[in-house]
Amino acid sequence: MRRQLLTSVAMVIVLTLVCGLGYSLVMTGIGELAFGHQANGSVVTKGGKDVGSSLFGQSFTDSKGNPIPKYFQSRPSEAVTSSATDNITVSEASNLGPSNPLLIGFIPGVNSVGLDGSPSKTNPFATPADPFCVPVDTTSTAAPVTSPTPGQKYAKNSDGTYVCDPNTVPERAIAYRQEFGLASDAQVPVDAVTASGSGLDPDISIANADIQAPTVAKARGLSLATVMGLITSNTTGRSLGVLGDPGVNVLTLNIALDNLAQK
Amino acid sequence: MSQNVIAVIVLIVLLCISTPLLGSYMAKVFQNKKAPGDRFFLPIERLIYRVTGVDPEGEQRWTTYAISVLAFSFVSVVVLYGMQRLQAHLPFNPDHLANLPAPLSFNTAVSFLTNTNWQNYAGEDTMAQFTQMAGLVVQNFVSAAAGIAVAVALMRGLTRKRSNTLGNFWADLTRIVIRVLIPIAAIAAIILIAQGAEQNLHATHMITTVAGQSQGIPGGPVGSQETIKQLGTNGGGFFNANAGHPFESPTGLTNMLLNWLLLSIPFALGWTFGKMAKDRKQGYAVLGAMGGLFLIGALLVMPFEANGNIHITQAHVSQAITATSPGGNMEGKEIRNGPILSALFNSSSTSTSTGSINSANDSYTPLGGGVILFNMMLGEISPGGTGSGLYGMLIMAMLAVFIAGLMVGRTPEYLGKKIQAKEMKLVVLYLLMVPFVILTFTAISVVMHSSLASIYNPGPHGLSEVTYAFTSASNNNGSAFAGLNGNTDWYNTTLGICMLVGRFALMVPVLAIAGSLARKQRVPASSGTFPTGTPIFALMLAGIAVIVVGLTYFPVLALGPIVEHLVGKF
Repeated sequence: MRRQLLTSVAMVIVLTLVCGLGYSLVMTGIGELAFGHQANGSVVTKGGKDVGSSLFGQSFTDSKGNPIPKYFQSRPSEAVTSSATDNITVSEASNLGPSNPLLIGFIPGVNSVGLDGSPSKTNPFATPADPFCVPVDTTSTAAPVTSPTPGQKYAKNSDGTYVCDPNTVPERAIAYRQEFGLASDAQVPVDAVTASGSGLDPDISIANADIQAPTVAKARGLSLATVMGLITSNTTGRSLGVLGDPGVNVLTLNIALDNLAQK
Repeated sequence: MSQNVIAVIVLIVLLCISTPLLGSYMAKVFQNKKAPGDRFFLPIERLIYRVTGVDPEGEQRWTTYAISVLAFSFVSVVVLYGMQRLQAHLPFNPDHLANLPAPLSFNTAVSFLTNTNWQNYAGEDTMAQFTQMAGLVVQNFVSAAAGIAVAVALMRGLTRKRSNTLGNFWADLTRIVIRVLIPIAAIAAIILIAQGAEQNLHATHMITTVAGQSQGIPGGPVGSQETIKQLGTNGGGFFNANAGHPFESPTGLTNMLLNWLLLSIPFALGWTFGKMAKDRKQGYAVLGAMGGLFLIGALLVMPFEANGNIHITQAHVSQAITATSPGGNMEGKEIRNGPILSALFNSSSTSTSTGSINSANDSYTPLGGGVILFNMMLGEISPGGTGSGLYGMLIMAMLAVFIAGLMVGRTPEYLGKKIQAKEMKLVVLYLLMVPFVILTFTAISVVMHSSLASIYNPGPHGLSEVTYAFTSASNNNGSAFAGLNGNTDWYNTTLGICMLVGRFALMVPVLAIAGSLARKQRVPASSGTFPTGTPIFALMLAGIAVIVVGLTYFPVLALGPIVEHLVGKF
């Protein structure tokens, strides 16, 4: 037993040097020498300044969180800024289950509840715009209420309808249609209203980009054909033609648009 | 869609090519035969033996072999625990990350030691680069190698005659790390980095985005850790989002490479088994059962995720799969992976004991998530973890010959070795250990007020979250229905216990069986022998695995994913 422990200590030390530090540092050396751009995070610049990484999604909203019309919009994101270090962007998924009202809203007869919190066949919080509305409370954070209790206070709009949690898929779809001038029953591509697993998805679907194109073209005074051309040139196809799904890189597309404007 | 189908076929073809090549190579390595690369690897191995004072020819009895595994694991867990507790004072910590608290350090140390790689933390702002490289990466290598070593010991037990010994753990460990794991992981890492995986030692790169916001892009030696995490069926991500993070898997090509890596060794070991048994058909039968169960799981999850979430169609959200839209259930999934290849990846990762994810399991459809849970409940044998998958399947094979023996009234035999009362007692111990801890801890967790607070999603999905956590930990998988908050004293401790049980309370009986079988004489096959190198046996093996699991877990599956599917009208 004692001999096995001594051998263990020696083995742990040697293997820590070989496959821990040795392997990792040699690979880092090879990466830096042969593929410096990728190894250092595929940084992209604009006007000589680092503005992000072509692989690391970012949002194109103003300080209030509203979309900036001259930019294509990324997918919804759950990525957060680290509370431990106050600066690192931490990848995060919503982890909302497929029947959670915070994701799909209150679907009548599936997960909808009455004002007393018991299951209900109808959604009492439905608004004319959103039959699946999840109400929010009156606190400053406007927290969604999914298990109502009698006496719960709800935030209301000036016309008396409930204020809905803006992060459900139905609400995101409504906001998307308004932003990009679609009819109220127009189909919305699923990637535009769902959060990615990392919260850092650098891509949007081609269908999503095509819908956004007229709004961006108008905001920039460009022809639709120019914008559509840039979508094509910033689309990443499937690897080797078959692996994965194609997507439009939002950051490089928006930078290309900005560069166009400067010329 | 059609390209996704081709991608699935590409993976199957890759496995069909790699299994015999890698399997034959590993057989040579384990049997100490002449193998390619001897001139390069032998001097390195000899140096390691000399420094550590190991006699590679020193054969060990099963007890010594087991004590070596346990001693090595004990030292590893102490070192890893210490490293996390002290990381603020160690080098390679450019972001000045703090020391980890004790319960989380314990959970993480046990998690990486046992090849589970359950993570109650987000890598970005928790783990210093030193801890990742010198702690977690090392365990990624050696926990995989230790699992393979135990499987090799069991194969030796089955194939040696009248022998008291099972080989030398230290030599097995060294040879597996040096000749199998490092070369494959290194080559794959270069491909990964070329595709865009990060590989640096930088601090977080603070930038101002195009829209004027501040963003902190983390650095780190990601690519090198990513490939061994997959190859060793470990699964602990450098970052919180695991293989869904664009720096861990930037393209469709890397997603496929990582998917193949995690399946490569578990399947190849089935081939190695046929080689070492000197009877290829025995290997085919084991591979048939592994491959069949794997395909059924993957083929079930893919359509559930491709069909999407029926409840958002009413809100006029298009989930159709077209040339311009990935479609399907995209909550928690990346565009570049799409729903089908995301499902394939997570199904592969739960069929092996990897547990890495490229999409969020918690947001899968009820039945898609249910199949992923079932994959783990099978006990990680389809094809399972590196080594643990093969020894799990061989234990299942002993149960299968025992049941077949009962049917025809003969003493069961496997590879000419009589399977007797002593072995069967150990087999039953092996089979009951994991369900016992899963179901007990799940039951306690759903009645205690404090542990119920960790549940994130309401209703039956919440039960799935808790069941998933204990199933994942006990089967040393490590994936999660990540809504559950596992970073509490209760879950850090109980999940830690589950991981230790799922690793060592299974490894020791396996080595005991190996020791007992090695001592036995080989009996020639007679008319009463149930042939184990046939398609019928493969079918029976898979069938028994499903029946044992079904009987054990059906009630909890019914109350979790199945109720959610029915009540939620999916």
